[in-house]
Amino acid sequence: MHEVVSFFRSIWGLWLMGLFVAAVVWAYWPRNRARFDAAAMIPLNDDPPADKKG
Amino acid sequence: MTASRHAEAYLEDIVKKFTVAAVFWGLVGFLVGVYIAFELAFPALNLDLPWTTFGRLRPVHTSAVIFAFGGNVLIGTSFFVVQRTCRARLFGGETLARFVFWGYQLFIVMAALGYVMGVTQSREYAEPEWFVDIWLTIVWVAYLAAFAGTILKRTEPHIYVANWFYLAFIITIALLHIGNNLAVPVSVFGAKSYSAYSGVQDAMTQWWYGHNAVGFFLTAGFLAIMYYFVPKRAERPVYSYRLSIVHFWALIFLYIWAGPHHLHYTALPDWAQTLGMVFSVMLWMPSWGGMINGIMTLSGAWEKLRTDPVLRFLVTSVAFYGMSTFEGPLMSIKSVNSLSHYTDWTIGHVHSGALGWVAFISFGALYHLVPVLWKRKGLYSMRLVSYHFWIGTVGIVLYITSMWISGIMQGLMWRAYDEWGFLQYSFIETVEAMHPYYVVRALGGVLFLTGAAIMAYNMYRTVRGDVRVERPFEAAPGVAAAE
Repeated sequence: MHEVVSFFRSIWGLWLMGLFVAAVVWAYWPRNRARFDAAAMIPLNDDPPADKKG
Repeated sequence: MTASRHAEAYLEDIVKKFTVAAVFWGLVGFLVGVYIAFELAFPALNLDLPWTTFGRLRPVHTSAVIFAFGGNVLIGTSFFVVQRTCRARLFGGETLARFVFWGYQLFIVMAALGYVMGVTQSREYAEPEWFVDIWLTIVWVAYLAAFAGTILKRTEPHIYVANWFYLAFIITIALLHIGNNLAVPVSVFGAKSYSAYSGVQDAMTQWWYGHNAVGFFLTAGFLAIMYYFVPKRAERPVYSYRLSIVHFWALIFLYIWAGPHHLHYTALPDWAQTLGMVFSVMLWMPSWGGMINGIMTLSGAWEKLRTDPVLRFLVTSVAFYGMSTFEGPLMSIKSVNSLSHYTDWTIGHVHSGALGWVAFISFGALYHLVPVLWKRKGLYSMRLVSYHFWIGTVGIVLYITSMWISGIMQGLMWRAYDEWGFLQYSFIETVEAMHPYYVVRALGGVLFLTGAAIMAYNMYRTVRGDVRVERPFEAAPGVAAAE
């Protein structure tokens, strides 16, 4: 366990970079597009349906 | 944006409290800033009293504008945004929210009184002594509970990106606050404490805190405001939601490493200085990605800038964000820093960010919030908003240009040698040379304060329900159909 932790500690730059790249890939993955387009509308649809339609 | 059955379920009274507090502390903070600016130009204004010296009033100014004005804007808008974008009532209800509000105001008052009385641990942007720090920790954890609890009980499946930025701000500030303020009090009933760190570790801890206070308090928190209020006001979704995700993670991964750029050419190891510089330069990318994302949200609706001065505040602030996050990495480059460090250039840089970005986006958000919260059709006067905008902008321009000139001049004078290798100027000669720029800077501050006073008046009349008789800004025809 200790060896595993110290190994990942020594290559922190690498897995931080990996995590970041994973986040970018996730953001731009074509199948996620519709989801994020819908998410972008959240602030515009936060008023009650009565006085504004998104 | 009128009263409604749905909105009734949200806690809005607490947001009103934070809004009023923000405007009040904003005026106090700007006023103190103007006063100490005049003190620098005319030192007799320190009145020869310990309580009114520059050294004691400066932290009053910085804490008042950052934590009192900025903090109230951030907490207030976060409570507003998290409820609406999560479609959930604030976690903890009225009681927890009230505790956060009054607890935070108490923190501000304790901190400010301490500074004036000379109670300080002399850490940049973290001057309050240990007992005030402990109190703030309690309040902050309550704030985190209210905010994160609301996210957990959300009925909207997706967590909107503004909430990511708010959450990053809350968590990171908790971490920074505790890490930086670890100290040993001299006695249980005494105010004095000593830091747990010493020497260069202490310096590094302070700037790990200091720069990330800029990164996560003054940047991430206000970016959350941008990601909610710019789309809201422009009535169109953010330019690219996917870019906002990348913006978020890039900012999170990079900012935390940038602190050492405050310690170039000090006892800090050279590799750490270079690391800080490299990460600061890399910050260009997320900063500009975010700026483009904010400004391009208006693409196809640019004419709104002409007809809506509130949106003008919001968008101009994003432009200032781009400008000061261009300047920052530039100044973190060691060779540039050797000229700029310890000079007024730094002060100018800070204020282009603080006045142009933080304050302007706050004004935009507050102008948007007041009619919504108090259920008014609109603001008392849009013309007054426009006056505020132009007066404030001229004030900022006077401020930052005078500090650029003064700072670069100061830096060049410090490094000027005569033909025998002696320093060409004594320190006091550089101070004398800066006098006219100090006067211009103070006048810029007066303009900025005037703008804020106009805002306070406009909001007061709005809350009262008054509507000013004035020529309206022309309505933009067919905005929705523009695409």
